[in-house]
Amino acid sequence: MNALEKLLAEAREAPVPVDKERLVRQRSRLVEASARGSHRSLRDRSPWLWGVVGATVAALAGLVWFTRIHGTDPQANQDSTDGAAAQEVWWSAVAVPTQHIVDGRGELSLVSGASAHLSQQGARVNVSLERGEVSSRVVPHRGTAWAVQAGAYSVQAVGTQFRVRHEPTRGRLDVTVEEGTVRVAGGALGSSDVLLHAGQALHVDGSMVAIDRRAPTGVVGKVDSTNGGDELGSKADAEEDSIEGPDRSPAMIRQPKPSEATASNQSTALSGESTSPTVVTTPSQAIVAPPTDWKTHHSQGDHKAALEAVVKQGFDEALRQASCSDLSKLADTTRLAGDEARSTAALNNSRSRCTGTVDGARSAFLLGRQLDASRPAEAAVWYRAYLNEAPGGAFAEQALGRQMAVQERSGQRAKAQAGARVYLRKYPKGLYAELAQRLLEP
Amino acid sequence: MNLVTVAKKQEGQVSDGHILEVLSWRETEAELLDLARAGAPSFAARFYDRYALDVNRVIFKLLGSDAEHDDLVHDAFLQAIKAIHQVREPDRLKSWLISIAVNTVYAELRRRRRSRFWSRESAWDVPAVERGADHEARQRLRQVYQVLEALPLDERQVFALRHLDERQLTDVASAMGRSLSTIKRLLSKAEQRFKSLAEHRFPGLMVESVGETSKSWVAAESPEERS
Repeated sequence: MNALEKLLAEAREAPVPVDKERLVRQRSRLVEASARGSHRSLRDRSPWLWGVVGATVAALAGLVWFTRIHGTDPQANQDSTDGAAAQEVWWSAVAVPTQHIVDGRGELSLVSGASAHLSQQGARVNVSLERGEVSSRVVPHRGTAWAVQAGAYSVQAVGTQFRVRHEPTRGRLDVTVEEGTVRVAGGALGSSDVLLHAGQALHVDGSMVAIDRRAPTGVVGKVDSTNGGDELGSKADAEEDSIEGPDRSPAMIRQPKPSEATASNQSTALSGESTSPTVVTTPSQAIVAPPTDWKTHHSQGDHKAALEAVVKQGFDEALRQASCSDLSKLADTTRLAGDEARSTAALNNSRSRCTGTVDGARSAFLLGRQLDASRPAEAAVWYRAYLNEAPGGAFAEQALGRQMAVQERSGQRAKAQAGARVYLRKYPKGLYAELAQRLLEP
Repeated sequence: MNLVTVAKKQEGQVSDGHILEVLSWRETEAELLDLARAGAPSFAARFYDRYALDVNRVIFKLLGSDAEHDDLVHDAFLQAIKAIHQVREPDRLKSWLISIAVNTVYAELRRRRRSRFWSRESAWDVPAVERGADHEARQRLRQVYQVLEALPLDERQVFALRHLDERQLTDVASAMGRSLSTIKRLLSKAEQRFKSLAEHRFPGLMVESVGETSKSWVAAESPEERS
């Protein structure tokens, strides 16, 4: 082998630097982009080029808006709102905050690093906040419907000034009302909604929702009494009472009804029990419970405490954020704490996200174990999945042995016998050898 | 119940908590395409899971360790998902995806060259971030990619796919959308140019003569490739 060949051989052998965490990151990003229907790369290929393009677009947009604001009568606009054509624009504040004036109906400011999708059809303005923080100042007009969507949450306002900060990767949302009233709905609030007045705020951390009532309630900002704002404000106050009740004692804790839980809650679907969030309201301060570290409890072997911690933190959020290895731990700790439904949810999540990894294969085996007694036919499928994915894995012998056992119990004798032959060939003195021999007896 | 129905049911989870058998299923390429055509929400994840290592590998082999590696993987998969309906033959799915990854890298390299042209950078200035066993090995790997950086794009791609990713010439032709004879011609040029550039730029990189190298590379072709 000459020098060049040696050199190339060395280059060929350079390991591909892709570890499990990197794969999980790539996967999450792709799934998120695909779910958004965004088939374009968001990467910054050439900052200066994008800067030029951005500046040009901003200048054109500014010109268009300027023309619209100064060239048309807002009142006339208001009257012809329903027939107005929809306008949509993707909007990112890459390096500096940017401001957007919406057709005389209000202003939006994006904090740097934020990105949003803005659509307007007449008096209906909808801002879909992808990430970061957006401030809104809504000019009171009858019929104006102004909403900011942030993940699963919707913040609706009439005649108000408010900020919404959204960190989708951390499951965090902060809504701060500076003036007027907003209504927050969706997400962990289920079928309820929450009204916030000036000086108040709402914080979401996973499935924990906290309302900051630092300012006295009923302080509705400058809502134009001629444009329906009062009407909405009055209704809002009434609704607020119905949502939270007349007693605003400190640290009132409300557990929403099971029906209010998110429909997509996988663990709820599997277990039939509610994993609804705790909504905490106080008149004086925000209470967002600090996330308790379930992993610490898990590593200490205190599985009950780990389960409590992860439920408190938000089980769904923990599932979402967990790496493949953490999903295994989560499945173990919930199973050992006796919560089979959550354990199953964690294992299913692992199967969905970590197939092809050691943890994913292990999850298949554990799902088989969970169903071994109650649904042997399904358990057999899981054992087979494990054997396919980890034929030399730590549980291979058990999976093969258990597979033939559950196949026999579920009436699949021919399959069980085929498995028995394989088992005896591979593990002639194994734990299940006796069962395998019995299965092969005429 | 057909496959797609099962897959959709799985994604929505069933209300009685029954775990579907299908959760353990590893789909064939044809089934994967069925999922794509049915608009199954999990298609992107399944598609990624199946080919993530292949795409990561080919991009790494083409570029070396690169700051934009993850972006290129992302772009390649997104482009493939967008155009998945173009795939008619399921058994060509993987080679089709690899060709998209190769083209994604090609476009990126072309963009970088244009950018360098305007900024008057030299190909030798291209930063490279390598990971490896030791400093010297990292240095050599860096130099290999620096030499590659100076090759014409087509030749670079052919050379990397053939000698670093160890692909058959027919696979290289498929990935690059070129004929086998074109690939052979490009490879021959690339090998000569690589050798010459490496000797000129990094005299210490190859201390021995490489006169027989081309012969040994040719000898490494499969009978199918030689024909």
